[in-house]
Amino acid sequence: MTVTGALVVTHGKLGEILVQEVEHLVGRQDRFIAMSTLGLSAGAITESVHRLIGDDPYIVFTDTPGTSPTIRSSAAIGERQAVITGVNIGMLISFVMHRENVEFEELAEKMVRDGRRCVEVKWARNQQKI
Amino acid sequence: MGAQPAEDLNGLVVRVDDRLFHGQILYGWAKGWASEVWLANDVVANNQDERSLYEEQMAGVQGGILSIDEAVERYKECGCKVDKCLLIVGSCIDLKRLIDGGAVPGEIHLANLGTGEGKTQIAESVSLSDNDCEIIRDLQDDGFSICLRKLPQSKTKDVVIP
Repeated sequence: MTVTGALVVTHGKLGEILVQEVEHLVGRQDRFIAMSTLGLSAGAITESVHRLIGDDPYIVFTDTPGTSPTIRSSAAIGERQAVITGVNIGMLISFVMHRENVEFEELAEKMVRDGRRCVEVKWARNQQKI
Repeated sequence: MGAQPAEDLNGLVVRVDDRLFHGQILYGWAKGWASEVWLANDVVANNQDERSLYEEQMAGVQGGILSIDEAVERYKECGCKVDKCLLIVGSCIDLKRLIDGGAVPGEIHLANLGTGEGKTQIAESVSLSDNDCEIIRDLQDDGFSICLRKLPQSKTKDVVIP
């Protein structure tokens, strides 16, 4: 079974930095790459994503729904490929930890759950909630 | 949300943007200025997969997807009477078709046109082919106002063809 790869497609340098920071935490990874949409047309984004992921199992992580990384990556994917929006470091760490032992569909669902777990509010210990 | 849209920005604005419908349109224009947003593109209008993709992204935005011919029909009828309408086309060639067909925009904005072989970069995110330059020059000669603008609150700059 081919291990699922990750392509992080974002505005500007965000994806590159996310990949770099995750590797800083968990070490260098294979098939763990980033792509910026800066300066690319709608068609060029789709072509670039397709060129990078081919027909291999891949999750394409994007920053925001409704924007070109998500829209054009969605046009590029096929079987055993998925786009997940709202990428964050926790989601990518979970991906690295689980991609070798969790089936593709379950892995995609898990990324959404684990990404959401990173979103929470913290209050100062001595402060009452308003 | 920061700067306000320019007060003189009204009517039909045609935006030339090869990224079609994307983040700047959703957050900057659809939520910040436009009462209607239309994407005029033959590939998107005629390909069911592409159409579904953009329909999903444009859900909740007043407007929709048109072919270039449909956009011409729509704006021949409405003329300049529409209020705060953004119409996106993906290339200068489509812009020319729209205007040759009889649509009359109040303003034309060049927003994102990617680089490529034989293109000249005229602004940070705008590169034009020789044919694009000719189209823009002809439209300017015909009296159309063409500027570089990304967002409703951005400063604008007139397009100067080299």
